[in-house]
Formats: sequence, C-alpha cells, structure tokens
Amino acid sequence: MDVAMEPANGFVHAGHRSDDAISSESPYRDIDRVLDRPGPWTDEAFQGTKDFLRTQSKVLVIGAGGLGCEILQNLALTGFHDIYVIDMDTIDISNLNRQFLFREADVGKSKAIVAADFVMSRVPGVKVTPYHGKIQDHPPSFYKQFNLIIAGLDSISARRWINATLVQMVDEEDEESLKPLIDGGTEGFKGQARLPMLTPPTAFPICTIANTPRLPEHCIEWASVLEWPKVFPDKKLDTDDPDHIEWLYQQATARADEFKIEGVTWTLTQGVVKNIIPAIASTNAIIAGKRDGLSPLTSASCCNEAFKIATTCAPFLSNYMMVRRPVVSPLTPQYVGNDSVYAYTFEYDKREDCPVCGGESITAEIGKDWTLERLVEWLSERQNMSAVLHASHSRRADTPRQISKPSLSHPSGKPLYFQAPPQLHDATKPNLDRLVSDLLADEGPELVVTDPNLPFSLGVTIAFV
Amino acid sequence: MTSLLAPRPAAQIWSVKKNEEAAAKKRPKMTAAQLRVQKDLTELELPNTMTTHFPDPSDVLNFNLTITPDEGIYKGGVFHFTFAINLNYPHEPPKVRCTQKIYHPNLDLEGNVCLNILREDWKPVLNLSSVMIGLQYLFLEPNPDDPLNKEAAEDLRRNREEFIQNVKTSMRGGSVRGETFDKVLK
Amino acid sequence: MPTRSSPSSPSARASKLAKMDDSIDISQAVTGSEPIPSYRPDARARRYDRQLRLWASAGQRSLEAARILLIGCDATGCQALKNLVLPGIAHFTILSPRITNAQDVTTNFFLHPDSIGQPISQEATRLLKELNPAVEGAARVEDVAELIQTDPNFFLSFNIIILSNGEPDVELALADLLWEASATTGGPDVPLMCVRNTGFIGRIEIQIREHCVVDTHPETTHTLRVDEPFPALEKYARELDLEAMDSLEHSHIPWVILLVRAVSIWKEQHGGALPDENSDEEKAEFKKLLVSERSKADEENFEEALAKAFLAWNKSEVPSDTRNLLEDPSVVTVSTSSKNLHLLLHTLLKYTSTSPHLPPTSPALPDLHSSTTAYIALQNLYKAQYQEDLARFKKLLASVLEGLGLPPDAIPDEEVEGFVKNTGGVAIVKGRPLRESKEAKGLLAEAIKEQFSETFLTPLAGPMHLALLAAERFYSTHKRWPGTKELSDMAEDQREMEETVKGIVSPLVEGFEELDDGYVESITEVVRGGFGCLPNTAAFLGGILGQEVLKLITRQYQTLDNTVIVDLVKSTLDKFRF
Repeated sequence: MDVAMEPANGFVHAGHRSDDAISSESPYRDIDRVLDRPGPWTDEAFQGTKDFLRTQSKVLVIGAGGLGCEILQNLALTGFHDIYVIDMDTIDISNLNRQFLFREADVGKSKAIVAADFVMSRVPGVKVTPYHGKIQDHPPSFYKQFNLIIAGLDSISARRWINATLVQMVDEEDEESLKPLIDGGTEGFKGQARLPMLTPPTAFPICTIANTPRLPEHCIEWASVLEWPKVFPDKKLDTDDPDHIEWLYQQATARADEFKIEGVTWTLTQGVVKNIIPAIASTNAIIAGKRDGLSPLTSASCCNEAFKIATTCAPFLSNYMMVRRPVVSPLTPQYVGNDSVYAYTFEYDKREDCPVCGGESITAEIGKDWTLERLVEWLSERQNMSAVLHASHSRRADTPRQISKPSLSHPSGKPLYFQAPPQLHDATKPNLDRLVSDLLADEGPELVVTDPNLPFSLGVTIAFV
Repeated sequence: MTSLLAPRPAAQIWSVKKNEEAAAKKRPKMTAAQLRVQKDLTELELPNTMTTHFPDPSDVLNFNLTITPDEGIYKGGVFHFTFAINLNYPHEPPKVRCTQKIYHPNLDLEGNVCLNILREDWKPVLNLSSVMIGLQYLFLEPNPDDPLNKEAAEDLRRNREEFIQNVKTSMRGGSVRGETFDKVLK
Repeated sequence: MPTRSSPSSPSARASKLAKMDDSIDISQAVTGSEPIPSYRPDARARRYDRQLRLWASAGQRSLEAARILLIGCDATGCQALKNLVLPGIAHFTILSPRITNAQDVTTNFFLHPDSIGQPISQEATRLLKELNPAVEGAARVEDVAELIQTDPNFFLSFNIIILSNGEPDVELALADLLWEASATTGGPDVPLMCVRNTGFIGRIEIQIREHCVVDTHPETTHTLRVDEPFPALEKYARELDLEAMDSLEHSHIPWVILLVRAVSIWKEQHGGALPDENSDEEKAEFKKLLVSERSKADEENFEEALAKAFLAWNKSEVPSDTRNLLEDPSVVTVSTSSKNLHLLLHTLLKYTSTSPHLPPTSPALPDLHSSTTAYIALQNLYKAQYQEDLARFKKLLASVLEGLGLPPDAIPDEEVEGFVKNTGGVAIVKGRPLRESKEAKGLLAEAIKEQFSETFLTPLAGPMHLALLAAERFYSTHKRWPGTKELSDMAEDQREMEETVKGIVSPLVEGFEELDDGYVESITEVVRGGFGCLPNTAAFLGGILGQEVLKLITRQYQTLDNTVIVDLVKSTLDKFRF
C-alpha cells in the first residue's frame, strides 16, 4: 500500500520488518490477512482454505470480452491457479477501449487465446487454458470438471443456455453436480420477468417500418428487416461485416432522404442492427454505459464472490439456490437516473413456472413389460403425484392437481406421445401399444412430461425393475 | 437439501476429484424452448378453420399452419404460413411468414405479416395459440389503418365493395393493379 | 459523433468491395441519382465507438485534453488509471518514491516480477502506457509530502488528482492546498479523489469546490407545451380538418396535436383556464372533449392522447431544479470571471422573466403513432420554435456579455446551442472541504448525531466510515496501520480503535456510553484487512474512480458528492455527503 504501508524504500527494508509478522515474506501477504484471520461476519466453520484456492480449485470463465478480461485479471491476482477461459470471438478494434488484455496487433486473433497468454505472461505461475469456440460445443461433462463457473457474457441467449445447462446437470443425489454459477451479465440475471427489459426495444411495428417511418431507426430497420432479405434472399446479414453495414447505411440514408428524416449515420446504423445502443438513443445511452463502462465493477464483484465462495473467508451470497438454479448475481452497480447512485441487486428468484428451474423430477420404477399406455395411466393415477404438484404450487394448493392429459417426449424434443395437435397425436398414438423399454432403447431413460395441470413440466427417469 | 442453507467451507461443498463417469451418464435435458413448445402445442385447441402440419414430426420447432376462413372476405381461401421457433422462445416470438403471395392490407408481397404480437407487443406469456388466433383474425378483420400493403389498404378504405372484388380476383390467381397473386382457392 | 471525420471515397470503397469473396454489388446500394457518401468510421472512431455512444464527441474532446495525476502507485490507483488510459486521456503522471517489492507485484496487474527492485512509478507507467498508444505517461520518483512543500504549483497543473492510500497527513495537506487554490475567483479548482482500502472494505472521498455539469442526460428533453402551445403549434392544431380526413390520416394524427387542439378548445370555452387538476369532474369532461373527435373506438393515437391527458392540467413551468439554479447568488449576479454556465443561467433567468416564463422550446420530439408527413410536420414546428427561441436567447446573451464588457463570442456557439436545447440537463455541484469530514465536523458531525438519536437506524456503512477515520488517527499516532501486527495484537489495535471512535462520538452525542455491535464489527473488519490490498477490492474501487473521473472530465452525468463506502464482505455500497 504505497506511501502509507512502506517506508520510502520498501524493497530494501522488507528484510527487517520484524513488527509485521504476518507472512511478511509471502508475496500473498495482503490476501493472507483475510485468509488467516476471521472477520466478524465470517462463518464459524471457517478454516484455512488457501490450499484449495491455490492448488486445487479449477475455475471456468465464460467469455473473454469486457467482463472476461477483468475477471481473468482478478482471478489470477487473487490466487486462483488453474483457470480456463472459453470464447468464440475474435478481437475487434472496438474492443480495445476496454478489453485491456488485447493490443492493436491482436486484432483478428482469438480472444480466449490472446487473453490466456497475456495473463500467464503478466502473472507467472498461473495456468490459463483457453478454448476458442462456442459454449454449446461442450457437453455437460465438460462443465462438470470445474468447481466454479463465472459467466461474463454479453449475449442473453448464451447466458440462458449456460444457466439451463448447469441447472440440468444437477443431480440432487450428488452434491458435486452443483455448480455455482456467478453471472456477471451486466444487469444480473433476473429471471423471466426482467428479461424483456434486457432486450433492447428495437422491434418497431413492421407497418411503421414499411410505410410510416418517423425516426432514423425506422429507416435502418427497413433496410435490415425488409430490404436485405428481399435483395439478398440467400445471404444472411452479418452485422460484423462492415460491407453489410455499409449497404444498410446506404439504403437507410436513401430512404431517410425520401421521407425527409434526419439522423441516419453509419454509427447509428451499426448500433441499431448490432443492438449496440437500443433504438432510442437518449434514454438508453445509460444502459449502454452499464454494459460497457462498468465492467470493472461488475467483474470485480463477481471475482470477489468467487474468492469468498472458494475460501469462505466471508459470507457469500446464499447457496441455497444452487440446488435448483445455481446463479449468483453479484453486486451489480448501475447508474440510476440522474442521481449517480450505484444500486445493486441480488436475485434469488426461483419461479414455479420458470422453464429452467420450475420443473419437478421423479423416478418411475416400472416393469420391462410395461407399454407406454400403462405408463401414461400410471402417471395419471399415481397418488403421491399430488405431493409433487402441491410442492410446486403451494400458493394454489386448494386447486385439484392431477395429471389428466399428459404429453410425453424424449429430452431431444422428439414426441413420444402428444395429445395434440391432431397430426402429432395420430403419429404418436401407435406408441401407446409399444413397450417403454423399446421406445427408450435409442434415446435413453429420461422423459419429459407436460400436462395442462402442471405448471411447467415433469422430468421422469425410468428405472426398470 | 436443507443443509445447503448454511454456508459451508469450500472443501465440503466440493471435493475436487472429478466424476467424469457420472457426468457422462447424464445426457442433456430438454431445452427450455422445446419444453415450452411442447406445452403450447399439446394444449392447442384450434378451431376447425386451422390445421398444423409438421414436415418432420420429430421436429416440433418448425411447422406449417393452414388457415381456411369460414366467414368474411377471405372465406374459401386456403392460406399457408410457416412457423420457425428458435431456442430463445418464448423470450423471442416465433418467426411467421405466409408462403403465398396474397392481396391483403396487413401482409406484404414477400409474405411478411404485420401483427403486433409478432414483433413489438410480443411477451413471453403469449403462446403459439395467441399467434394463430391473431393470424386468423387478420382474415376476418383486415386493418386498413396500419397497412403493410399500402395499395390494398387504400382500396379497402376507399371502396370496400371494390376491395372485396379485388380479393376474390386475387384469390383466383388473378391480377390486381398489375400484380399477379397466387391462387389460394380450395 | 465524429463519424464524418474521414469519408472514404466511393471509388476506394468499390475497389475494396471487389476484392471480397461475398461482396455486394455496390450498384444496388444507391437508389438515388446522387451517390451517398460513406462516412465509414476511421480507426480511431472505431476504437472508441462504444464510449462515443455514451458521451459523444464533445465528451471525448474533453477527455483527450485531460491530465491526471496519480499519487501512490498501488493496485487501486493503477486500476483507476487503466480505466482512464483505455478511453484515451491526454496524459497521466504517477508520483511515488518507492521501489517495487514482491507484494506490490502480487496485487498489481500493472507490474511484473521483473519490476522488483525498480522504481514502482516507472514500471507501472510503462505497463499502463501499453494500453493506449495515444496516451502520454510520465513517472516521478519523488516524495509527495516534500513536493507539496517545494513545488505546490505542480499539483495545480492537473485536471484531477487521485491519491491512493496516502498517509493521512499528506491527504490533509494536499486537500488544503487545492481547496485554498480554488478559493480565489477564477482560480484552479482541481478535484481531489482520495481512496483507501483495507481487505474487503474501501472508501472514496471527493473534494471539489464547484463542478458544473453540462449534461446530466435527463430522461426526457421534450418541452411539448401542450398546455401552453406556441402560436404556430396551436394554429396548426386548430386548422386541421378532421372530418375531411380518411380513416388512415385520422388515426395517424399525432397525440400531441390532438391534445393541443383539445386544450385550445377547452380554454376557449372556459375563459382561458386549463382543466382544474383538483377536479375529477373537469378532468373527465376534458377527456370527453378529447375523444369527441374520435371516429372509431380503437384509434391508437387517441389512446395515446388519453394516456397523456394529464399534460393538459400539469402546467408547464421552469423545473424546480432549474429554478434553484437560477436563484443561486452566483447566477443572479455575474461578473467577467463567472464561468460560462453561470453566464448562460443568468441569461436564462432574464429569458424566463418575460412571457411565457418558460425555458426555450426543445427541438426534441418523442416517437408517437403517426404518419411520416404528420410527424415531420410536427417536428418542423418544434424545430422552428427552437430556432426562434434560440435567437431570442442569443440576443439576451449578447446584451449580458456586452454589459460585462465581454466579447460577443466569449461563449462558443456550440455550447450555447447545447445549453438551449437541454436547459433541464445542467447541474452545479457545490462541494465541501475534506478537512471538515476528517475532523468529524460539519455534515459528518450532523450525521453522527442523527445516527445516535435514532436507534436501530444505523446505516450499514456509516460505522465503517468512522472505523476508517479512527484508523487514520491510529496511523498518525503509531506510524503504522491497525491490523498490521501479529494476530495476538489485533485485540489491542481493536481496543484502541474502539476508544478512538468513542472519542469522536462522545463530544457530539449527549449521554453516549457504548458502541453497538455494528461499530465494533466494522472496526474488526477494518483491522482484519490490515490495510492490505485485495485485488478485487482494488479493481472495484478503480472502477468507481474511473467512472467518477470520466464524469467530472466530460462534465456529463451526476457526479458522486462526496463519499462512497464499499463493503465487499456484505456486497454493499453506500453514498454519503459529509
């Protein structure tokens, strides 16, 4: 701690600082202070966990962008020694104003690889293993090897995917399958209710775009939504390709001129089609600021939660939700309106009707000779099913809850028996007479059941007895 | 499960040895989008004016909808739409297009549909049934004041009788204002 | 946004496209007869693209002129600099006399093991400069306390000073130096940001005498003036012939027009009065009048107008925040040494003293259900009125400047226009001297009294501030920080810290006896950290410092005034004005 902590020449004096007995030799002296001694709010079970942090833990960072760079830096400095990072993107020049592990010469290279190399060269001793690719390319078994996963993802859909994957990995019999996910998505992951707010409101009415444009954004959407597919029916719009943006810009400008609308610029065109700024610039610049400007804060608090979880040197955010929904949304600072307030939110919401965390799951022990029809009847008749239904619908416990018209499918989505629509009902009806053991031979013992009386779904694992 | 309520040292939360074998047994479960589509589809109660068709019955995310209005100006027509649902459903609406070129104030010649719940007013609480009902409504009550096909809308506003004639001509595969439309009669 | 800085020529574009495999036929791009110039952003604009969307070219210009001084070369300070070098400040200097040791390297990402034994400011400067070739960096291997004595003007040559974990005496000396320098009218007013961290706990304090914000980025900048339309708007609204319109046109009249029209008719029928906002009957009657011209039940524009009907009885006036600014003595009376913003506000005061007693009309218009032509026509009405109001404002400003003997171009046109467009977006922050807070006087004394009078209302971070204050007093006595000795001595440090906090509180609070748990625990956590630097805490504080510096430099958004305390044990953050 600079002037305050050290005499004028810290290096020279370090040897005879006998009054500072706490591992004064250790380069980790500062960190050890909170690891060697408990604080007033530390859990009673706190014990030395430096070993776990520094030699055993294995951490995955998803994303090597604005958040990812910060997260990697902080994890490495904190003492996590075995870090993995995955990102499918390559470095763009517009990343350089905040993604500080990259330089101009790195433009076009893999973010994950460059970030890993840089951190290892700056912090010798730490191992960072990069994966250049999509998160969806890895099976759940890949994610299972990590003690902790930190997501620094911009994309909402990728965050949804990793959240769902980790929840679905949870085997309630096996504690190791619980993977804490610390989500650094810049607004925290606030469940379904808040998601529409995360999606920029760029969806203008299509008739406005087609016939009554008023804003420059309407002209840009006209070019990208209506004109592009018309002119290039076989070419997908690539919003990262400057030539594609150029074409849209030209089209939008011509249209704006025609309607006497001012304000179409190259930058706005790019912003609208890439959702960089939400369509109405004035109110949403602050949201963009949250996304791009405050990554140091968000990622620091992510890593702080990671540090606390890995060492228990301070209480971390409740892990109860890890059972169903292992998401920890750390302190998320944001500007609120005019007031220069950094607000922060924790979200632990588990919603009964949430497709990710709301479903129940049971094991059905059945005979090898059971037909699908018998299984369907069993599901409808099973007495203690009401307990499952009750548990997930406690607030409306007075309503009778009984599976009445179940539809069944493989986890791949392929229907096994559907009540509707007619074509699928007819196509799957013959399955009722077939043996469950035969039907499951190819795709495995799990089924997904939906029913008008179920808030969402029921997972059924078949065990033959 | 309740024991997890209390924070415990990391060493207890995780033992560091891996269990790859157990992991391998666990296969990916169903995606949220597919779950929701299964629920939407199997609880659909469509009137007999609408039928769904699945080109690949094992793929519930891509299918066709046929609407055969039994009243109104478009009675007698058979209209085909494609539904394409991506993995962000229900956070994003399904992508719906008409596969025919038809004369309608709220559809353009490329098959784009102007229906508020397909874009600006979509909410995850809506479902496939809401979209289908909305589409059918367009054939019963075409809206000339928020047009996608400006000419058709103008015809409807100016002279309803003439518009009805134009619809009939177009549904037979004839031309209106120099534009030839697809034949959609049964 | 400076997207028009380097238009590439159409021919250059064509040849570039031709080389690409899946390039697009450029002939399809141009629908008009005149080719549209590209204005594709250059490398610099692309590098700064994301931030330009936030503070635009005006903010970027201020940033690229900014000179920042970091005193104390620790992880926290370097993280803050990282967040400023990346977006492109002009210059930074790091001032520290120290030589790098192993512990510095462990916590600070902008040092390398090879730095050990080298001057720390030089090493960090070198590695920070790598982040952005456009930024100039310098290191001074000198002691700050000495420099305050020998060369106080050095400090006044910077736009902002960050003092990271400085000795308490140095903090005070520097704060005094800067506060005094800003006391003279027109003197340099250099913001000082003091940051301190121990383990999971951190605090930032900002001292600045006066800060002018030119754009707080308010939610809306519209001045629709539905209740008091300017003549051209009212005329336009009244002259529309709704009955002659077809259903398309009718359903696309902007709701603003519908409301202006209804208000105008209402006023005519009620002797010039608006609907009474306290009378539900009148409000209902007004809504009836509004929808009487509706041609069918579900017209979207009428729905929008009904939802905004309250604008008819919410009288347009000078917003209260603006009114407060206009009443400030420094605005009421101006001189040649007044800042531009004060001169502009003074002019606004004159402007609003005559009818209609409203700020200038903004050219901004929200999107609304409308046809293109109706929307553009309405937009043009507001733009024309803005130009008229701007002209009137400029005339008043010219007379103000002339009265003071200032040249007519004393304030750049761009600044005047920005102000007139967005008078609701300006703010003036009046700061307080750091010394007052450090001596537990002024607002801090008030806050302490308040805390102890209302039991159980103790805010989380209030006690933390006192614990940090006590630690600073501890350092002044012992020349070491609490919690830096062996484990067994922590209890002793703790006891002394508790006594110090009691010593701060007891003269202020009558009948004070014991510290409650919140205080004791806060002290324990502060001592536990031993004023060591956790990388996450450093990064977090560096993030806030970076944001606050950017806000101060760009003069955009509301700034922190004046203390923030971060508790990363509990993951909370509290703001105070001390």
